[in-house]
Amino acid sequence: MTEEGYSAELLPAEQLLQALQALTSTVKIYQANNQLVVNGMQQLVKSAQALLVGNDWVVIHLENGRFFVNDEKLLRRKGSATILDNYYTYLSDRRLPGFRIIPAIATASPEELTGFVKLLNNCANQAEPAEWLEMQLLETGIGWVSVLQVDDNIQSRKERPPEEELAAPGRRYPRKIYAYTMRALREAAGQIGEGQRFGMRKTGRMIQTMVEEISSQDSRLLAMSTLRDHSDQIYSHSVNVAILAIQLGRELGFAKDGLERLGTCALFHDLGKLAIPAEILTREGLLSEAEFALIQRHSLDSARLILQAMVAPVARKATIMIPAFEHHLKADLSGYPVLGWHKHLSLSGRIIAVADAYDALTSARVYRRKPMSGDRALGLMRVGGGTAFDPLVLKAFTRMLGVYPIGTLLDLAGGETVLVARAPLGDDFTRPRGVLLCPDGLGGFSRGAEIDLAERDEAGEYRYQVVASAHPSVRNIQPTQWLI
Amino acid sequence: MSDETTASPAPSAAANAAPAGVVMNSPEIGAAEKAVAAIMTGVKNFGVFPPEHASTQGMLQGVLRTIGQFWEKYGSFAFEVEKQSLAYLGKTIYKGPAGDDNPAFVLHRAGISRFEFAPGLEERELVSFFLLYNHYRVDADVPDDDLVSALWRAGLPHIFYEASYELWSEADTAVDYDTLTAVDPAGYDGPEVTARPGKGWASFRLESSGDNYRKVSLALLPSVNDYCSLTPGEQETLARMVEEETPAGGSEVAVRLMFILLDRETEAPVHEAALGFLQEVYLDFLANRAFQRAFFVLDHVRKEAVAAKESKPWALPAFQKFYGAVLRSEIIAGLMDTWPRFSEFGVLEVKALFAILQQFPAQVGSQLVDRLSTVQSPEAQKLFVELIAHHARHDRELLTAAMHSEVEALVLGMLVIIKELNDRNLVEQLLPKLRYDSRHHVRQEAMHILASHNIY
Repeated sequence: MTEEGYSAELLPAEQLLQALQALTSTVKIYQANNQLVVNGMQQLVKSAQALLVGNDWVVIHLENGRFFVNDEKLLRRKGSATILDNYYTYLSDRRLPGFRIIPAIATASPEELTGFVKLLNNCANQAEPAEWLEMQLLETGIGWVSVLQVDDNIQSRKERPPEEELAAPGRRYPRKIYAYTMRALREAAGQIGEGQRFGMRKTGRMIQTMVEEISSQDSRLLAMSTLRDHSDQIYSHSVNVAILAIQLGRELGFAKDGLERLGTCALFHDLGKLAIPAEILTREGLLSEAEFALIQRHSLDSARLILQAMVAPVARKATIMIPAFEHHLKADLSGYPVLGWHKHLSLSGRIIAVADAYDALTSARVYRRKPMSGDRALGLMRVGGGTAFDPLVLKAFTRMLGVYPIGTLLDLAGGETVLVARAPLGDDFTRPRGVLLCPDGLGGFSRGAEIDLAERDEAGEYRYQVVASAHPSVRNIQPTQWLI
Repeated sequence: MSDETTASPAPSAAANAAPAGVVMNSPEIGAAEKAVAAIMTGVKNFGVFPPEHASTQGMLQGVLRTIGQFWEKYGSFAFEVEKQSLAYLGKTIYKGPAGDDNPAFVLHRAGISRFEFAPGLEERELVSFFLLYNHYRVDADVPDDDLVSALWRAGLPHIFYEASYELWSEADTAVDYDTLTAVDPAGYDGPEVTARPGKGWASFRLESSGDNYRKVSLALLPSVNDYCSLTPGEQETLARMVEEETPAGGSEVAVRLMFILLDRETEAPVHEAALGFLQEVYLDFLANRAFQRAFFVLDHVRKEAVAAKESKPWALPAFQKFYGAVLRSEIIAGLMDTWPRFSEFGVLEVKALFAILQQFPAQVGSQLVDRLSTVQSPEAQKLFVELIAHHARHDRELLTAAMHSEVEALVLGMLVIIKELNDRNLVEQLLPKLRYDSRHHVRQEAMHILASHNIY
């Protein structure tokens, strides 16, 4: 990868799709003068110009699951397959058959370049996305690109059987990543328990894998973070927090090495709980002040154990132990442990605090047996924005998950039940995409089609209305069973 | 791969080594063998000469040329990695006994199953690869790192690899996710425990039904989409926050955390670990000329050590170990190297450096005396004269040595001390010779002091 995060070894067409894909995320958060956006625009123009050499235009269209550039099929190569797959999904989700780029792209302003990407993002909610996009391009005077006409040969992934969509190659891969990461963490904990020091080799490798997986914009690892195991409040929670933190870090534009650090901090943030007797951790009744004080010092103990037991250079330990120490300190520097800490909290610490609280609220605990649904957890956390949590980090986190986060169970006005599978495509954050769960007559469910709650009917009205939300456990559903 | 590879008993080299050409059965296989051989030659010879040396440059160009010839005809050069051999298109292109000299063994040990040098490979990438490969070839047991992690971090754009992440057996990690339950079925309908003390914002009780539970949903927030949207100002702030999140800032904050641990913890191992950490950070600060930060560490450790004398004598060995490491005479030698750049330091940094040097034992003063004549900066010279004077007040040997210095300012400084000490014996011992010193001010001041003691 180059310094800006773009791969020089990709073909120009692959680079163009990579740039568009990157801009899809960055324009949601950042303005046109942000370096990430600028890099994306430069890459977009540069790759388009390379394709325009000797051509009057560049036509990119989707057909039967493949991209064609000026009628030449793009091969799924190592290094480009993920980009092609993800951007194919992105465009087919919007029922867009493709577009034509002309040489005027060379003189397009930043607003015109980002404007197109924003329109692409927004057309997800339109009844006729291609027509709507064409009209918007005319209205906004964006002339360097035009939309192709819908072609019957271009099959949207929406129309494919849902089984095919979710049975993509490597279906079990996120499960493996999750299991191996948990195993690495357990091994480290085991070594601490025996008074030994632990190395970072295995956990490091797993965090790097997570970073790669999440950077590929595949939402399946995020779906794994919905895994809940009431008998394990440390390990699965830590892996979940690591996934959520890396995902948010990526949304915010952390570089790869920054994501690795963030993920490592998140994975080890609760190491200090190993110092708390299990009897206290699992006590169902109220705790004494002394027992609660022990719980309150677990974040300091996380830092202490990282210091004492982790085999790593000092600089690395420093970056890992600080966010772990900070994760229960609030944005207003109250919280615990109460030490008169007056240093500015690290961004990683603030991210982990948000991810930690979200995962905890949506999980059953001995002091709160009923986990909250994701929308309620986010609603409750919003109250703490500015005091308990950094308000901007919380906002970015909410934006990333949507109002109904992945794994939330929704009842629709038509009587259907939907398990949220992906964040919304457009700017209506209350309309995610999900999997229909159909009663199987035996008290369970069978898997139905994947639907987009932003879909509109012929009259332009939303096709689906949410009437209630719930944590999936109320119907004994483990989301990973349906989403991975 | 089920687990990390361990070396099996190494067969004899004669039995296993397959020199290039043995398995060749096509020009393409031959080209692959040639490319691997070139890379191996590069690996072996890299480091023999400095990177900029003509031999090294020639070798690197040779490796790139050989791989380039492969690319020209056959595209990207990718090969499979087996325990003791490398294979291209299913044919063995290299085989050797298990050991650090076998690239297949080294790559396989790290969990790499496929390796690729793609067209566009640059010299700097090859250099990075050779450095990393050679480092982990001989140092495979680093517990916090390995070749795969190092390659991942290096992000070499034209070097690809596939690494197995299955570091454990399937059985070890088997999790039947579908059987896990989010809530304890036995206790799901049991009584809710009200908030634990001090839970703050999350302390109010929520039921699984009813108005309170329903109303808290974010979906009920009016203009929820606005809440989820980021304004341009918020976007800028977030971007700035990400920019400011640098790992370099961690050490300074971690230092404060160490003092919290020293203050609160009551176990010797924690003190040893915290002081060990502070020792490394302190030396790092010194190496980076961050004297204020270094002094902060030294000064706060001193305060902790003073407090420990009373309250936790069991921790004193850890403090002694710390001081033994950070006040070594070698450290002074390192600091002396900064003297030529003295004028670049700000006033506060100079003051901090002065304060640090004051912490060193008086014996290091003689080192300062020996090196003082090499100090060009007048500000630095003034500072070090003060420092030597500080130590010389308590060290007659140092005082005597300093009196013999060629640096006039130092001798004058010592004369001030002698005057203050008002010790007739000392005056008799050190000053008479100075009546004939070639330096006017030295001579004059010495005679004044001698006169004040009625020594003529």
